[in-house]
Amino acid sequence: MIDPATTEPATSDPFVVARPDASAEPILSVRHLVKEFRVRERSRHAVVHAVSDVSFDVLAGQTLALVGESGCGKSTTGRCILRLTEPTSGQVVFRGQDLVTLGAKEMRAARRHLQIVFQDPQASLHPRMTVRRMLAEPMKVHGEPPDRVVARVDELISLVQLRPEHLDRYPHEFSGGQRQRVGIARALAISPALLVLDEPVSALDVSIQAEVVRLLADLRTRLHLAYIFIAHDLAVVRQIADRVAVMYLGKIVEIGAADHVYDTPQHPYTQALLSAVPIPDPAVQESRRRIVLSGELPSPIDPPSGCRFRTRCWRAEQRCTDVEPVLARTGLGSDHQVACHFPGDFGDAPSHLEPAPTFDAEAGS
Amino acid sequence: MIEQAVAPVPTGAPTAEPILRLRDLRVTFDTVGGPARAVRGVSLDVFPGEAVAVVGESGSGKSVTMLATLGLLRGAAVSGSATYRGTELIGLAPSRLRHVRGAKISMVFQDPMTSLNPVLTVGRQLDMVMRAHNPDMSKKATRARAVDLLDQVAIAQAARRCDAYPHELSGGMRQRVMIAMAIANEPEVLIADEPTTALDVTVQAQIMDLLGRLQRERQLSLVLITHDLGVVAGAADRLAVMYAGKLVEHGTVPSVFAEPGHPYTRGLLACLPRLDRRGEMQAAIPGIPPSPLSLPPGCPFAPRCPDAVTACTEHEPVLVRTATSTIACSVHAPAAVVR
Repeated sequence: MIDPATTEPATSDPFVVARPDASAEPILSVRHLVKEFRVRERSRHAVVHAVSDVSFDVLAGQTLALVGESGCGKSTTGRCILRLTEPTSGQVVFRGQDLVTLGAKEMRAARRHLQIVFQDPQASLHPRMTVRRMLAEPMKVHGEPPDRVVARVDELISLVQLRPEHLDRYPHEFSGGQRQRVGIARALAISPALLVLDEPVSALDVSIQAEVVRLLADLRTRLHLAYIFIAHDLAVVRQIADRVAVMYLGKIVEIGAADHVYDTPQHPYTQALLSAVPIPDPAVQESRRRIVLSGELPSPIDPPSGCRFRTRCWRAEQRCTDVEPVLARTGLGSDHQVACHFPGDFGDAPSHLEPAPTFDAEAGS
Repeated sequence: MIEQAVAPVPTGAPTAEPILRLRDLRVTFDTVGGPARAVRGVSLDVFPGEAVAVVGESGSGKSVTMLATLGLLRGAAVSGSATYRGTELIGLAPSRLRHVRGAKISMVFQDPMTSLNPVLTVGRQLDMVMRAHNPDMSKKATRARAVDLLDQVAIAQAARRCDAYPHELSGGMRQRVMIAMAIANEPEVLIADEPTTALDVTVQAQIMDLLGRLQRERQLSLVLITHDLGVVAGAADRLAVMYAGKLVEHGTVPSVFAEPGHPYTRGLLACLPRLDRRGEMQAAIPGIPPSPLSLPPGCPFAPRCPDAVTACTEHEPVLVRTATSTIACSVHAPAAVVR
């Protein structure tokens, strides 16, 4: 394991993580973000609490990873930041300006600085546009002069390590990894400061994932980009994240420097999640402690009172039902925070959990 | 090609008779682009009570090998041999194959939503599986057994869930139902084709835990088809790595992970990100796998191989046993000249 304190930062290595810098200004501050979807369930109206009071900062030039399982609200959070999904309430402050209050025209101008890369490059690239046209499009939208566009397109293609002859090809002529490079080049066309990367490597084979993650790490350093890296693959996240926010049922349960969250997780859910990720090493895999959670994820239509994880938690007590825990510092690192009444190392975790008594009431409806 | 150097009983394998024995299994699909040679001579043994992982990337032939074994491929030319306890399955009459498939050897597929019938309750589907092999069972008996099976796969409130339709269940629960169906007739071999790929990581842990428990309790032979070497590390005794329709390496899990012999296996292991380490992600395998329509001459991995020499493009290597595993590589395990 790499000890951050003793590792000499070598500038040539794109994986060297910028130290959390107390003086660094946040480029983006999300405050009390809420997104509720109205749905009809069995002919009655219901509300899906997709994102519930989420707050975090992204520092310039750094990567914040939003991790969690399906339905935890990580992608909705990413989309709300760009207002591709309209937030129900809350603030998204980008360089001092609250994006949520902007009109359509102002928001379009603001998107110059915030771009998104989607999971499936097959679906997010226009099948009948050449790469050249696709890369030029965002620049035209933002009124770049035509001669500048031509030069920039050439720059972009080499930036993502593709060749000039690729510019006149169509998406179907590329492999999955190459297509995702095109998606990244398009997002970079107008030189944004922040990229939301929504599962950028999940659709790719493992050998290709590594290439794309390396490219992203390299671009971050060269262009001083900030990333919000949304992913469910915690092993990939570890390779690129400076900070990690773990989400469960629409809430951040733990956030902090990646090394702190991975090496000394304090929230029971983070501990269960990390322990469930298989490590491709039989010796390690055999000796490590694993927690197999019982039961199912409760419905976001009717989340549990108090702590949302309490129905599956081995530390849960009455207080967890009555009082919702808020993010509080752990004392383990300057910005390591956990939302749990009983945070702590996971020495107390049983390897197999009996279903919590409330399980059927939650999942059975 | 004749098996030149080794019988494919791998290093460290149990000494009992194999329960499932594949010999030189070949599958070719007739496509508009010409014959696609998806599986090109796979020999593999599965012993009683062991867990074997068949690993490879998309298109390596790992699923097709097992589908061909069970006679589940239509319109493909299958040759070679696959025997279950001495009974040849390839070319077996469908009526006789049906006595084996679903009863002695059963299969769990990747996507539980598309493999369950959406308009029948879980209980009804379990009933059909049981009565296909035991037509004399009463409805009452199958119902009782269905509840018991759901209970065994740790579905809470099994009696109530028996009357649920697949859409009323979560992804993890659907996969548990699939597993319940697969074990309903007490099979000896369970083939699980990417059983956790569509699931979240904590659910994946639940399902792998369940498969491991069933395997131990019932002395099942488990064939785990997967692209995820992390899952292999925790669940299998042996692994077989496939590339372009061939086995390129097989051996015990500890030895192959500790000392992968084939450059492809090395590349696969090197490019895996690890939860417990940072900054070691390498793009270890350049290029993409070859198309089964136009395989390169010689070793199919040679065009992407860092260790390839001229000879690699001339002769396709055969499996040769090394100190740690069995590999098909002319550079790292040159075949002894047997004439």
